[in-house]
Amino acid sequence: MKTSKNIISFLSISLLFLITTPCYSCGWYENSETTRLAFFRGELSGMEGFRPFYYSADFYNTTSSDDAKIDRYKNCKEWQTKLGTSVKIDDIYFILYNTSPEAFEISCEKKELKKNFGGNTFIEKLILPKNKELLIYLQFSKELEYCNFHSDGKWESWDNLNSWNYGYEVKIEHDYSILKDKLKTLKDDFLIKRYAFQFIKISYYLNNLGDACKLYDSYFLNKKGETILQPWALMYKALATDRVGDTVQANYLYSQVFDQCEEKKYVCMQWFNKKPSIIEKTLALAKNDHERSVILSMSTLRNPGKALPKLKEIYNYHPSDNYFGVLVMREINKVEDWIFTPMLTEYGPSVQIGEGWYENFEQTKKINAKTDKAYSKELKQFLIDCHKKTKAGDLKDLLSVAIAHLCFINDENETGKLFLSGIRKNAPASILRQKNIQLALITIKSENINAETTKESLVTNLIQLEKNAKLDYDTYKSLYSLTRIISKEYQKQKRIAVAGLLFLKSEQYKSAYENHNEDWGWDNYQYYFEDYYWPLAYFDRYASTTDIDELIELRALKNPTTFERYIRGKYFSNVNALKDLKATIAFRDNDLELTEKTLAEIPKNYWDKHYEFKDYLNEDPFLPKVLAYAYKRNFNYKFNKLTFIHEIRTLLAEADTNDAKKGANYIKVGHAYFNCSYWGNSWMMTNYGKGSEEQHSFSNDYLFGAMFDKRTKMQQKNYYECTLAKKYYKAALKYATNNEQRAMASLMIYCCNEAVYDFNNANLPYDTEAPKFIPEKETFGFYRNYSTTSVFRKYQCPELDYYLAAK
Amino acid sequence: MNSSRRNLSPFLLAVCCLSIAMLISCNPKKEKQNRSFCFWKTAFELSSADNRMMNQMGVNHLYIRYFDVDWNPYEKEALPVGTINTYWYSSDLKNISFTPCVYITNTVMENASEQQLNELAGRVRSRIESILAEQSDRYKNQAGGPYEEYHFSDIKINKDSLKRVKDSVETFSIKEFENKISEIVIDCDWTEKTKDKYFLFLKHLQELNTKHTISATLRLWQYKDRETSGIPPVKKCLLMCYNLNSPAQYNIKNSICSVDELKKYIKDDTYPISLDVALPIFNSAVIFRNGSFKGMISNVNLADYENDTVNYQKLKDKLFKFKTDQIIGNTVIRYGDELRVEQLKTTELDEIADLLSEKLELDDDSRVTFFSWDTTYINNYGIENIKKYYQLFEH
Repeated sequence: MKTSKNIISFLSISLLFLITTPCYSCGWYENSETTRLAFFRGELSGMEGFRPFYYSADFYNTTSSDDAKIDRYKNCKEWQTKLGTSVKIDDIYFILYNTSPEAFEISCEKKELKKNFGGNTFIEKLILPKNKELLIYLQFSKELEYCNFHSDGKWESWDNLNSWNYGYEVKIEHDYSILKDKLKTLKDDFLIKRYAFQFIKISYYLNNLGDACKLYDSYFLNKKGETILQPWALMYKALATDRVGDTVQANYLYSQVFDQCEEKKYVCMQWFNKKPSIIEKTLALAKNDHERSVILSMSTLRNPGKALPKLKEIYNYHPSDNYFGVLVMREINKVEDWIFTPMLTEYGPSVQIGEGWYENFEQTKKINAKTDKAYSKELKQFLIDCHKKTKAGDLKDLLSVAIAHLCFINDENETGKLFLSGIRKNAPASILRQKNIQLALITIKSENINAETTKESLVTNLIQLEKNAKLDYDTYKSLYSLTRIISKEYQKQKRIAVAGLLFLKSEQYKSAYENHNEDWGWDNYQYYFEDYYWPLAYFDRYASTTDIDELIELRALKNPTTFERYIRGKYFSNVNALKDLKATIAFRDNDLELTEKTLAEIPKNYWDKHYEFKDYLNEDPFLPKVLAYAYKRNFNYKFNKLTFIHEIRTLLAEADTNDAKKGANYIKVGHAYFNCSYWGNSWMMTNYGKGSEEQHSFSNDYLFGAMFDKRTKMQQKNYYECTLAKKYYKAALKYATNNEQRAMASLMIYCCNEAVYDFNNANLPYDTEAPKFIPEKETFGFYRNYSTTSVFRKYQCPELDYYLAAK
Repeated sequence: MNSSRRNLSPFLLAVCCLSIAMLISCNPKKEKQNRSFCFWKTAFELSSADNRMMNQMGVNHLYIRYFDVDWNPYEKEALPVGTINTYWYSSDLKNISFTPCVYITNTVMENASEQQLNELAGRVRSRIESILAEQSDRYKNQAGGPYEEYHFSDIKINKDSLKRVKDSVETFSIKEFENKISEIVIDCDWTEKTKDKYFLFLKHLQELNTKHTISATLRLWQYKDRETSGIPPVKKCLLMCYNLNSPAQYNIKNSICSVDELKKYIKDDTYPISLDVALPIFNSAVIFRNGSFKGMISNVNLADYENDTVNYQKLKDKLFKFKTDQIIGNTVIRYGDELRVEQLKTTELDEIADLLSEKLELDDDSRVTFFSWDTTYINNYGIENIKKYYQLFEH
């Protein structure tokens, strides 16, 4: 009974011994923005403020507003105008935005501004007696900054360990009354606007919403003198209007603020109401086409779906270049996400609604690809029409490069080239960079990628982009997409060594992009590539032994070309890892001679020191694991890959020349092949990793997709079906010289069949009944003919009885 | 008779062994707690790898920064800042004793009234007590958890007695934790102007703390210029042998420490108060544009800059010029900007340790500590070197 339990539980237990390193299928997922493919990025000067609205799968609130601090510098400029050009803008910025209110206040109190901010030209002017009122204002505004932000929660409370100090809130009310009086006495417009702005802000926070609106109208509405404080103040009027319930008017005001400044764009978009009925009413308030185009753009800038009809509508209102440029870029990024992400990765588009997409992924992919291509053509035609109507300039260049990309998507490269040739030499840097990307894409599709000149041209482009990426991390997205598509082209041409290295490059770029917000940068992802298996993963799946030879040669080249130097990177510090992979592939091909020859080139103790070999290749490979219920497993066995293969070859050679040895030798070889299968104790001879649900998850990994079918073919299907093991057991049965050998061969044929049966049934759908296991005739032979053998006595078990009884 | 002697002998042996064991346990020889590190992070977490490293170096004491106190000009009072997160992730803290540290800015001393400082002493004391209570609670849970899991899970025992045993484990753990702390260190860069207020504060804090001895940090200028700085009214000072210059200074080799600079401060005489000594192993890099300070990068490695000849040109020892534009954090670094690596080489730290061990008169119980605990910092010097520095002071 105990034996029976053991044999039944053998499979399930053995599946628990998983190796985790190469298993990418569970526990960790890349986010959608990381895997999203995007070749296109064309940014006009002034579009930076729209970055939170670029097409992305990231959460909206993970983006930051006005990265370039355009608004803040405008404010600094106003101070400079007030105080004179001898005051440096950077000095003003430092005091206004990089000096804590506390540090400023203490310096003011102790009259140590000059001492503590020595050399600051802004401070030097502020402390002059004639500028006393300006200094008082600044001190006041810093105090309000402290009230608003509490210095980002720096101050804790003595009351308990986990509380913060908020005692200062009451001070705002006090300041409110001071401000009212102060504003009446002021004559300097610069100061009046600043105090008024603070007053509006405080009014809003104190819920004096009517005051906030009235104050804006009194001090900013239709007033002379352009100031960045005007849209900032209007923001509070919009919020106050929204809070009193006038959604349409608030929406209109949000659109005004959105249009007039950068810093508040993000928050305006958060509050902007995109309901079609509200948009309709908001449009009715617009006074001209520009205002209408802004309102419609705002309603479209976060639309994740097809927005071409809206684009056409907006275009009719003559939108400014930046609005239209952002919308065009978004639309192209959508199209390429829909088309390229499923084509070149194992994922669907990164921005998607609902999860139904995956139900019949392959078929859905085909249908959607067709629809998306049709949409891309429609979009292209619209852009060509716009191009015709647009005067030469930045927007026309952007449209040219956009059209060229859509041509590339639709395999119309000659037309694409025409549009690219029209781009001005002094176009914005981002457009010129995109033009180079387009040329590279066209090269991939239309040139011989194996020609040295093509490779040289591609690598020049890639290296230049790499340089750009150091200053603009978003370029890593282009690099990731570009290297991924080039890799795919080489893969199509069976240049696996080059394709694999480019694949690794693309992964490296992807990682750099993923982490650009976390200041980790490029080098911190080096650990991926220092991992033993990770750089081998692509080649483990796609390479032949000759591909590995090419890889080894590439690695050793003394005078590589620029292209070769670029692709080979620093991935394989130890050539023996490649040789071991080559031997593994040769073994999967059942080319024992090449396997042995390759293993002989590797140092004997290599497997003791690297990867997980010594933990998974540590049992006698000639003792079938399936029979472990009747013997004590010894995990201290000194396993050596070379010795093992040599022994198999010796056994086979001896069997070839000596019939008397055939029975015993074939049994041993059968055991060896059984153990190198999924079911054996030496499976790591064939694979680098193993999982419990190979059909479903393990071999369906996030980078390479479903690999199960490929794995089933390994070693003439021996890995999952024990074909070779069975072949040798059957041969052993034929040539056996005694009943002990026959008994063992019969028993193992049963074990092979039973293992495969269990494996197949374990993966049946819940509602499907498993077919009955039908033992082969050898199993009956084991009982009928060899019941007196020692093999029978040792290994006979009730499970066998069960199946025979069922028969 | 023979038989009784045969029976008696093992009994006597057992009694003797038991007595010796009891003697040992009742009169334990107090182990010196003088191999120390400063733990200056905002969350207290020690991994088993950290523990292993500590064991390898024989570290048996930690100075732990509990919180800072700064002056809030708007509230017109001193408030706590950056209180340590008291999560405990440590597999083995049995052999480690702790000293809580509180950093008080000199601005507090400049601005607070005497009455406010008296109040502050009470608040500091009570906050330390709260953190200790929270930490001991964590420690208790940590100590109680595995003990119960590994020692009782397989023993059939009635629940009441199990609870009693568990309670005794918890009581023991709290007591054990309390025994780990005998001192509190106050860190303040006081000046001639603020010394009277600060010393009054220290006295008052000591009066309020009967369980713990109050110590103070001592900067090198305070050590050297005793007439100006005064001698703090404490039994022990921790001499901080680093931060000799401001990192923002351009024309210096480094702001951390150098043996030549140190020689200007360390005299042959004896400081009137018993000293512990802190040595620097931290590092950073300072970025300058046209000689003006632009920013700092923490936790760097000198070798990284020396080996990267594509991006950096070595101008002189530890000073590099950026050869390419880069983004570091949110700052754009341009070609021509300079970077000074503030990291003492092993040979430099050797010299500093030699000088201090030779010149400073330390007690048998004096601690040698390193600022601060970070495996990267430690690996820059190597475990063997750190052990060597400890040994220098032990002989």
